[in-house]
Amino acid sequence: MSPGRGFSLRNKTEKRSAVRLVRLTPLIDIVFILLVFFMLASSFMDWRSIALGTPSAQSAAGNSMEGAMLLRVHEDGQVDLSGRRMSVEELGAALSADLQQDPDRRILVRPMRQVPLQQTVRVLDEISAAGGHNIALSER
Amino acid sequence: MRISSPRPRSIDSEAGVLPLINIVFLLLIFFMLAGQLSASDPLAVEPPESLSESLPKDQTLTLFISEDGQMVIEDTEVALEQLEEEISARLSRKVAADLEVKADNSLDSARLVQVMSRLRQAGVEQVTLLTNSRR
Repeated sequence: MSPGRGFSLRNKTEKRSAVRLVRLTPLIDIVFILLVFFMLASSFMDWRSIALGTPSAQSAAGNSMEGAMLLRVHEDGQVDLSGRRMSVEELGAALSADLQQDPDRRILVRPMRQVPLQQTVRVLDEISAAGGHNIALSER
Repeated sequence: MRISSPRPRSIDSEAGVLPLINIVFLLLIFFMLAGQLSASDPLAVEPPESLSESLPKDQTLTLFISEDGQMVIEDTEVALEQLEEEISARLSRKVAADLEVKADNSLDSARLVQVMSRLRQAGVEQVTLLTNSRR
């Protein structure tokens, strides 16, 4: 083969691959940067909400206390429904009978000291699963 | 032989890069569509998990409470004593009288009750506790 032909062939392949690389590399860079941005900036939190009444000193002494059920949340994971001690799992059954008669019945939840919020939310979940919706936190 | 040697190499490198680009594009599209862009919270708060089905409303005033009881409302740090006036001032300025509380899951519940009775004194009857859905 002649030297001229060999030169032109090599030049052609080098040129083609060089053009491809020049187009791809900045694209990859930008896509990577976008990917990192979206990975860091996006959140996958599935937010939910629980409606709660605020506690008040007046209502605790006055009329809204009447007929309300008092539920204490203890640190050891048990609860105290109007003086009856039970586990959180038993709470639903104990509540649902009362709540079927009067679904609007007010339930005062009183967490004791050092009870983490997660445990209180667990109790609130049980109450709403049993059909209670008039829930308020209560001060000691 | 000398001429053909660069050719397979360039094909090889391209063939190695293309699946990578495909996957990066797929990841990019996934994160763009599935994630939500939102401003980061002023306090590090790990919300409690609940089975609640109700979704939080938009356009409300948010009170952040961290694990050690530190409170931030709209980028302003507040102490328990100032909370009442801060809240009533903000609620009187805003049209929406809704307050949501984003509290850490290991916060002492008694502390939350304390905060909420202050909110009652500020005239807030109902608050929304934000949680993470448990699946």
